[in-house]
Amino acid sequence: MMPPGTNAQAPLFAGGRPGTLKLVVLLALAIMLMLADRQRGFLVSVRERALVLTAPVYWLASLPATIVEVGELAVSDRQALAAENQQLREELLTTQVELQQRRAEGEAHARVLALVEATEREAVTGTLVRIVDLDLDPFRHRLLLDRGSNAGLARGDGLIDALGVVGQVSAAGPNTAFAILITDPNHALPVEVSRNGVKSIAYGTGDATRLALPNLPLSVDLSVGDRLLTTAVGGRFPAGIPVAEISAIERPTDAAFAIAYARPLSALGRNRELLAVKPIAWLGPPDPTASARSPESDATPGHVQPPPSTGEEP
Amino acid sequence: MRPLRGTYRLFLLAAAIALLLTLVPMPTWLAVMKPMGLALVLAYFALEAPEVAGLGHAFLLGLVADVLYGGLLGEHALRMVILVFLTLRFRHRLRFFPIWQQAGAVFALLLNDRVLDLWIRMMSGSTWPPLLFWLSPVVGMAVWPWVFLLLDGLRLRRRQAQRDRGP
Repeated sequence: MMPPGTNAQAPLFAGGRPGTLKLVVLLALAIMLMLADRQRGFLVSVRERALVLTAPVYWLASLPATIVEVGELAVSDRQALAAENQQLREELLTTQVELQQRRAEGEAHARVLALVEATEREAVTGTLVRIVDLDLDPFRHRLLLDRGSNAGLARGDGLIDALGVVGQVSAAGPNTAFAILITDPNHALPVEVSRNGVKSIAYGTGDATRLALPNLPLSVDLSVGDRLLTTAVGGRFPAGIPVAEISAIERPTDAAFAIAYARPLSALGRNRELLAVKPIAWLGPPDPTASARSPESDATPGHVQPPPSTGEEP
Repeated sequence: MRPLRGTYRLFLLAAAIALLLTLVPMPTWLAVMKPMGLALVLAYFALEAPEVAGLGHAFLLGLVADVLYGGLLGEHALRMVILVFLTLRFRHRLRFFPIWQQAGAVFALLLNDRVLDLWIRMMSGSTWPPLLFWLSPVVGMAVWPWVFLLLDGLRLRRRQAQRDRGP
């Protein structure tokens, strides 16, 4: 362009020399933005609006993956497809038989429950969404979905796959939505142990293979291999969906609480299709103040340690 | 002003491509060592054409990255502003380094960026990331010479073309 040191035109765009004042102003601005964004929900509407603008970019970036997928479909031979079809049919049949059995059991169960006047369990209904194959950040636990508010998705919707709970919608644009996984450090989920109904909260750890259940009583009845299910407490997920399996329990002798770790059961976003389920309004957590803020968190109130943030990332 | 506008266009184009490439899905083992493309592009233009890559642009492009990657708003903006500031501060020295030495300096810049990233993560309640987290600056250093040569070639050719066309 020009020899170094003769930047006659430099001041036109933000100068060749670093302006310390400008640095300070921009840094302050960035930090203010981050703080505002941390404040739950404050910038979500901004972000949801921005999703309109960024949707074409995502489409463009996911194009190679889409092409590969379509290409694979085009060249995969009939026989392989037929074999896969056959296998899927068989699976469908076996699961349907199982389902019939379960239904019969469920009816019997419902009759018993009716006798003791327990609440009925809601049938799971939801929207099928697909994960857009994009790398948002390999060390964070976020997903991009191909449906948005036009398809009825909203912030706080739960996401499940065939194996268990995956995460929650954190921001919904018209045709795309962000979701956070249950392993995100900002996520907390009320759970109960299927064996004995012990209730706790599973926090994300940032590690895709484990959730943490801190602050358990030292005498808690929990053992490795126990399955954790969702409860209706959070109001986000239908009760009884598998979440994780206890993988380790630490009972430190010098601490007041035990901590357990659990391995998530779902494929955590490696499945392309997810089911988005609506929050169950009538089962939500009781409104603690009924004035200031609506309970958006998924964590049960009255828990010893407040979650790092709550139910979802702002 | 024409060459400036040409460079400016190249800058925006390179930044857009870097932002897009970062999003393209990869196998997990590759994804974790993906270098921060935007950082490399910003470092190059801060070194070679500081009149287009100022702090303001670093901030705005960082914001675009934040919106695209769905992270904390302002996080990339902060990191990119600091990266460009440091590059500009040491620009006169860095420019006359041989390219391998420059790559070393870029490694330091990217490492610093990673530390900032970690700091922001910790503030927002994340746990310590796996060791692979630190691989990205190394890969960034390895690709820096190629990014540098590619962008240099494009920029010089563009200028050549403009000189041929213009008076």
